Amino acid sequence: MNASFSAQVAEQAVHWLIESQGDDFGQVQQLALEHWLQANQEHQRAWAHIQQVNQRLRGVSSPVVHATLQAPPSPARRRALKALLLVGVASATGLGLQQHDPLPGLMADYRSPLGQRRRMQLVDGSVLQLNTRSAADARFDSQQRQLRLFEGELALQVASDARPLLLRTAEGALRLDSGRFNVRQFDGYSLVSVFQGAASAAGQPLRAGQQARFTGAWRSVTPLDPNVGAWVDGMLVASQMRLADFLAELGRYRHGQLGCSEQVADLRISGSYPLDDSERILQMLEVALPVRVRRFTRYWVTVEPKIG
Amino acid sequence: MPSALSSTVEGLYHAHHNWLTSWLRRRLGCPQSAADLAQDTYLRLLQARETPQLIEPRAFLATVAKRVLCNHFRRQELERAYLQALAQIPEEVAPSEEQKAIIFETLLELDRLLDGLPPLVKRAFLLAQVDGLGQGEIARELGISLATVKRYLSKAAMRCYFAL
Repeated sequence: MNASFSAQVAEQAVHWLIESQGDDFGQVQQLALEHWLQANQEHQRAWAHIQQVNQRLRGVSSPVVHATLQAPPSPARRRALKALLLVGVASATGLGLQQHDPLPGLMADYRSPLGQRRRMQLVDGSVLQLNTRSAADARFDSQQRQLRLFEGELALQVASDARPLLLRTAEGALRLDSGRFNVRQFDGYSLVSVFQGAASAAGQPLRAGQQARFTGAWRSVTPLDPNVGAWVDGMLVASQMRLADFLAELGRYRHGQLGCSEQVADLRISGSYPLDDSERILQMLEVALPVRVRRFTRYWVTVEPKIG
Repeated sequence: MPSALSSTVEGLYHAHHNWLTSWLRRRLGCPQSAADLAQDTYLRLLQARETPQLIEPRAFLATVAKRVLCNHFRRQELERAYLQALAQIPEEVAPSEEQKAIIFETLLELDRLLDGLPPLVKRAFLLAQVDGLGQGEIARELGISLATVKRYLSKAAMRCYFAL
């Protein structure tokens, strides 16, 4: 789990980790953290290293860790069984149901149906991966390489080439240098995450280790969420995610309606879940959280508080 | 036995293998694991950059073997606790055999990295990074101040992420 960094960088990275998890971490501190990340590649590597270890730690079921490492969890926690975690935190917002327009991308070159992922090698050697219900086009000529994301989400490993690569989303075009990217089309913006290399839009760069909303220009640049690309490996990784948001994410991979009642919407959930078996994830929810999964029809599923 | 030969791992192996195996067997009561652990002991010597010039090769071997034995017992202890914890998980949501093995390796590594830290420090760290509890919640759960929580988390984090 450990990699070699200078003690000084290690100390700073740990400082930022603990601060960023603090209850009073605000906009100003967030900016300071970004500055620190930007200052030095070593900082970014150390930060990414911590995130990776954390991802691994969160993939381990908590009661098993506590029991095995003989630091017994509290009675309350022991009751909150197995693979998932719950922490009730109040802040009610409605369940964001995704809208989806059946028309765009019908004629797209590449399409990945609901619940499936596809991986394609493009003629320039770049690798394009499409997440569930996604569509994209590729047009390459002697002058440039053009990609278009019609809907959904793509991961792109851009091969280096003399021609620039332009990616078009609903909001406009961005330029991608060779590197690794994740781009997801939302309603009104797309979310661009840079794992390697750099992206630029309207003359402004977005660097490795950053992500931003793209609306024709970058909006709200933040440090990269390392869980963003987990779908490529067939995983949904949640870290303290609201149950409502978790179900909305999971719903992208399933047919029909998946939601929850307001009473349980703010329960928190963490862990890594295999996307290819969403039924099993729903079963796990009932074990881990004080909820029951109610099925009105096969395609209409609601998560409600457990009774009694 | 010329000392030049006995200070190589090969020399140590030839000269003291039987002795080491029976030394381990006495402490384990199991010939099979004694042979395995003897191998582990030599493996550890091979991985070390150089074997020091030895005046008392058996005392040296015993020191290394004790460490191997310690790890072995700790691993067994963890394995027992792990299997017990797993047994409480309903079968239909239990991890696959492969996942179990991966999780156990993570636990072993975590245990090794956090070894020697005070129980409260460990606990605070696990609550934060495995359970994802907020620092305020951890302070309440453990009955310590927020500043102490941060200090504990930093201490454990230096160990866990950077082995420092």
